[in-house]
Amino acid sequence: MEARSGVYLTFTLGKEYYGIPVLKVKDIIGMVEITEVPRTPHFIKGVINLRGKIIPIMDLRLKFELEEIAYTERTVIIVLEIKIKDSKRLMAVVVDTVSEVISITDTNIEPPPQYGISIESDFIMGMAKVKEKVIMLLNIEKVFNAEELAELAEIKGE
Amino acid sequence: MFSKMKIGTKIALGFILILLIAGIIGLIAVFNMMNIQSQATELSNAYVPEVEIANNIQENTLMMLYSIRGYSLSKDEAYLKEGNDYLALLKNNIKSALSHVIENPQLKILEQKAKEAETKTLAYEALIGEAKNKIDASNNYLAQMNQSAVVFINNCEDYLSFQNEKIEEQFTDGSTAEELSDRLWKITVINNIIDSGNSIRLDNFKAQSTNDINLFENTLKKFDEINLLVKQLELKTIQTANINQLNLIKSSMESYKSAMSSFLANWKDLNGIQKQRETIGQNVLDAAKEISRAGISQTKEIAVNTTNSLASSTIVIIVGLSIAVILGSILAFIIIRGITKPVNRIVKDLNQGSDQVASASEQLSSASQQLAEGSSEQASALEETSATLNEATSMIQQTTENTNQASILSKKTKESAVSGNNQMQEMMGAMSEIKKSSDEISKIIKVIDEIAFQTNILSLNAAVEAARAGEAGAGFAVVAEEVRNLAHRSAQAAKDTAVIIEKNIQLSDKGVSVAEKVGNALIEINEHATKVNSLIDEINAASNEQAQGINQINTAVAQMEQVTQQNAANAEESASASEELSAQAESMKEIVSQLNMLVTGKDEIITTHKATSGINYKNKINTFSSTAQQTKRGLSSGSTNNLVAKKKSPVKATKIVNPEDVIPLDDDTADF
Repeated sequence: MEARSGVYLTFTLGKEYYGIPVLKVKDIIGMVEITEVPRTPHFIKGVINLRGKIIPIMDLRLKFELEEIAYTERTVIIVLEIKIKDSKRLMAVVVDTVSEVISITDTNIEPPPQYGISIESDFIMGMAKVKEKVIMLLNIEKVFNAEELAELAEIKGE
Repeated sequence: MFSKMKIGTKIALGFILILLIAGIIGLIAVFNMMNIQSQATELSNAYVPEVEIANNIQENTLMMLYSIRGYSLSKDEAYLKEGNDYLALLKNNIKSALSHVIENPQLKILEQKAKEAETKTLAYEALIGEAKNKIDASNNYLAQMNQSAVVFINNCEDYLSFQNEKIEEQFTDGSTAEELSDRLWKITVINNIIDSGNSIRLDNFKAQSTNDINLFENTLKKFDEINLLVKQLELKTIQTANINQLNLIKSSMESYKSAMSSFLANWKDLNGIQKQRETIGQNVLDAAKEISRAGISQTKEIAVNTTNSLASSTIVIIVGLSIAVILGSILAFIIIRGITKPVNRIVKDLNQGSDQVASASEQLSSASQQLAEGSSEQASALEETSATLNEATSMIQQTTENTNQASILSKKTKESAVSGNNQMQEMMGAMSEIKKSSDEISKIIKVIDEIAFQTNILSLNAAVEAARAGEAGAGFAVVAEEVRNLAHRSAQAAKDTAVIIEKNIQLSDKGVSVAEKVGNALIEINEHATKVNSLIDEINAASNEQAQGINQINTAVAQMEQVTQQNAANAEESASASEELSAQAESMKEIVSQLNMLVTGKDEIITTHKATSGINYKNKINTFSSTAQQTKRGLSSGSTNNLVAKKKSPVKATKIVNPEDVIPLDDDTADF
């Protein structure tokens, strides 16, 4: 079990708050032009050009099977650095808004709810309680399964 | 159509129709009569003579048959002569029948039967000749019989007288009984012979007279008996003289017998002839009967035909006459009605007309009197009217002044509306500028918001970097947090400002639209003020015209006064004229009653109409007088106002129903 206490970047999808460890975050930018790539999973919106680097971009709403909404000027892209087979890759994630950078202590974190084997909830590291809100702390590598990660590696095209 | 014809045409048409019917009936009757006449002629020329001839033939045939039968029974020549005379007549009849056939070839039966009768008659004539011969022969035989009988009876008596002498001698000389009985026997036998001879003759005559041929034949057998007796006598007779006598008796008896036999044969022949004659005679009779039957049947036929055609013509005449009578009656009725009805109507109309003229003239006279009264009343009313008109004039002047003031005020109103409109335009310009600047402000605020967003992202990036730096970035993290707070605050301020500016924009929009409405309202006020001004001008002009009109009314009233006086004079004149008219109407009624007497012969209509017209007249007078009273009351009790109201109201009703019709208010007021 990883150390869950630390600094997290919080963002929102709809009304819910999520947290990502700050160390995984490479950059936070506003909405840029997205180039669509054919024959990719529906949650992969395509690729973006980030200061000369081609990075695959994913809509987290679609990945979490939430309702899709149109992108606005206030829509934010978080550039993450994720590990795939011991190599680090950049990955852009579309979220509704970015909230803040906070540090969360272990005492405020509770384990994710267990429903059984069939439902995967590994990608939630825990549930943090901050100022009456609940923040779901994401293990971003676990959000994707092995095949998806392989596909993402291919899209990278390196 | 008929009712529109002239009377002359109607009558002529009726007569022509009746004459036409009479002519048709007459023609039918004449045609029937001619037919009957031709049949009657044929009857008298052909069939009646035919029957007459047939009757003559029948009669003469019967007479001839009768005479010839008489002749053949009695053998009397006189009958024969008579029969021949009838035969000659019969022949003549047949001849005339044949000549009649030539004249009338249609009599086929007559021709046929007459020819038959002719041949039969000839045959009959031949039979008469034959019969005559036979009868003559029979007469000869009878003479022979008589002769023979005389010889017979003489010899028999000689023989008897000789025997009687002898017996007397023998009684005296006393001869024997034997001789005496012998002599007695002879006497007895000769007596028997005489008796038989007598009996034969008796039977002969009896048979002839009774025409009994059997008796005659039986009598012939009696000769054998006599022969037997004579032979017995011959045996006992010795004297030559007696023997001669006996021989003579025998010969005479034979002669008698042969005569009788011949007579019998003749008789039989005659009977045969008789039968033939009768058949032939019957044939002739039958022929005659056929002829007469044919003639009678033809005659009957013609008689029936004649009767039928007479009956039919009688029916035709009766029907025709009835039709003529009915039609004539109807026509006469229609024509008379056609003449009298219109005349009656005219008389009625004339009568009514004269009544109406009379009543009208009376009404006229009373009306004229009332007119005279009314005229004087009118004159006084006119004076009142004139006074009222003066008041009206002053009122109209007041109205004119008021309208002038109203005109000035409306002009001022118009000016104010125009200036208000101009200021409103300026205000609207200001409003739109406010709106423009608000829009610019909202753009600026958007930019500020954008900057705040970007700043927020930057601060977060900084916070991330600080977190990555760990303890070394702790201070940097505080700065990033502060920057983030500032970004948040400026974003919040921009948001608040945006809300306020949005509200501003909305309000200025509203202000613009309100200002536009106010501007429109001012424009309308301006337009309406203009219209009010023009209306006031019109009112002004109208009051001027009214003033002029009232002046004209004044002069008219003066003229009316004059006219009223003239009216009064005229009314009196018309009253006298209507009385004269009434008298004329009475004389006209008299004439109409005379005409009515001429047409209907009575005087009813006029009297009845007089009654009804009198009532009508009275009613009319009543209504008239009541209305007159009403007007009178109105005039006497009515004050000046009342009079004005009365005079105005009909004008209002008739001329100006609605002031809007005269002054076009609709368009102007609609927008207020």
